[in-house]
Amino acid sequence: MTHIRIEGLGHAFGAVTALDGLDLTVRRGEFLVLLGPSGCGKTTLLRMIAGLLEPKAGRVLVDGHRPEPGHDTAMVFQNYRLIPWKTARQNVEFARPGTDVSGYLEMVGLSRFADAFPGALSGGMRQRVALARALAAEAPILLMDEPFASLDAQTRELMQGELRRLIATRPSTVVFVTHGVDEALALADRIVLMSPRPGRIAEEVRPGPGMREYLWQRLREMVLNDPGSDFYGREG
Amino acid sequence: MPRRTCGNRAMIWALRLGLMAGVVLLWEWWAPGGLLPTPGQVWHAGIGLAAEGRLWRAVGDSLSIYVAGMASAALVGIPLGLAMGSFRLFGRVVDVFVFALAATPRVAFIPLIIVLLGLGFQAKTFIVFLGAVMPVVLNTYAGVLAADRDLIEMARSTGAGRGRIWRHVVLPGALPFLATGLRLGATIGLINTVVAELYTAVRGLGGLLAIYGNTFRMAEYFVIVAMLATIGVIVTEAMRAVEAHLSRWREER
Repeated sequence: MTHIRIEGLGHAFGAVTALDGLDLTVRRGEFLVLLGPSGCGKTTLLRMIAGLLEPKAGRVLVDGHRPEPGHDTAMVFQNYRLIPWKTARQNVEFARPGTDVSGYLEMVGLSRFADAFPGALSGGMRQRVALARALAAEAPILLMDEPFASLDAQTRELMQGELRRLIATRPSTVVFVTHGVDEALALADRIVLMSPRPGRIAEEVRPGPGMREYLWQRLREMVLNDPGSDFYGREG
Repeated sequence: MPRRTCGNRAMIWALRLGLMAGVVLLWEWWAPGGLLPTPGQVWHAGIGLAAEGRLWRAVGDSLSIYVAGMASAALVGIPLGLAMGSFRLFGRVVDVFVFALAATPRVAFIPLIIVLLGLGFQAKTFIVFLGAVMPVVLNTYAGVLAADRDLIEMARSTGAGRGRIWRHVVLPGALPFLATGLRLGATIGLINTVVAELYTAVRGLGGLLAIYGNTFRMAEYFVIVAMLATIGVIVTEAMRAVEAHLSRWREER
């Protein structure tokens, strides 16, 4: 059953066209990964699904209506975006005012650090708080914008496992942005490969044998064909 | 508070007191007879002024003007700065006038203030207010404008409305700026207290400064200077403590 429907989506920042004529549907409960080089409009697309950015063309529909941030969607950002003057608990409470959020902190293994300020936490712990905040919103759609990009390889792998475990406990649709092929293959039910300038859907694939080499090859071609594009080539 | 910070603070204060003791000793040794009083003479003059009660009356007069001026500056400056930052059109219309006023030496307004408010408490308080209000307005305004756009977007992503974003993100983010504005305003306010007491009815510590300066009673003159410096240090340190408290979350791992 379709949960998110994207029709003819287009957007430009000044003279730069970020997205052009993008159509996509996401099924309820699906874990969709948007994969592509930097500058292909992945984050722009995610912000539009979140209802944070108004498209200049086309529309995004969640269950047939415009997405309402916090109600339909919850978002995890790459740079955590924790409120630095609030403790871990208060940051999680921000998404769900007036509620006991101990359970969410426990889910991400941070009960002992509930009263710590973000500045005192490690990168991995900060991202766990951000994840707990998104889970606390209890929104049916979880949007994740390269959430583990600034973590070291070991912590990133650990967090991917944790995310899978947490998603399994709740019926959520997830749209996850990354430019890491391995990360996409580890998490996705379906991978949407995006091409840059303007951002368009190049291909949709499902994780499977031989897909790692194929996706690397496709990304390499995209970068070579677009000198302005940027691909870090991390084994994410 | 971490033990290391306490230790650092104690060491800094010990070094400050040591430096002051060194300066006093050097002064005692160097002071040219007749022209400048020795620290001992200043001390005795201070004891005399305190015993007569004249010093405390002057301190009371000056502090009442200072506190009234500072309170007015905070009451006007903080809401004005917040409004200028929060309502962008208002801010853009008004900020050029605030910058113009901030760049004009406040002494230029004193004749006008005397004409309008006389030579008494109101005029003095207004001179203090005029000096202190500018850093409060400008820093509060800058604090609101410096609100973290990423945090605002995060807050929007949770469904928070404008009021909630302002209360939880914009205002707390502006507080350290606001505290800095108050600290700068407090320093300028103290200077303006003395300026007001020199230019209007001669009273308070500024008045004593004028009297002892004009009659070359340098020991008493230095007592007043030392008292003003002490008030300045107490106010600045208190404001710094407030700033540190508001920024305690900045401690990084």
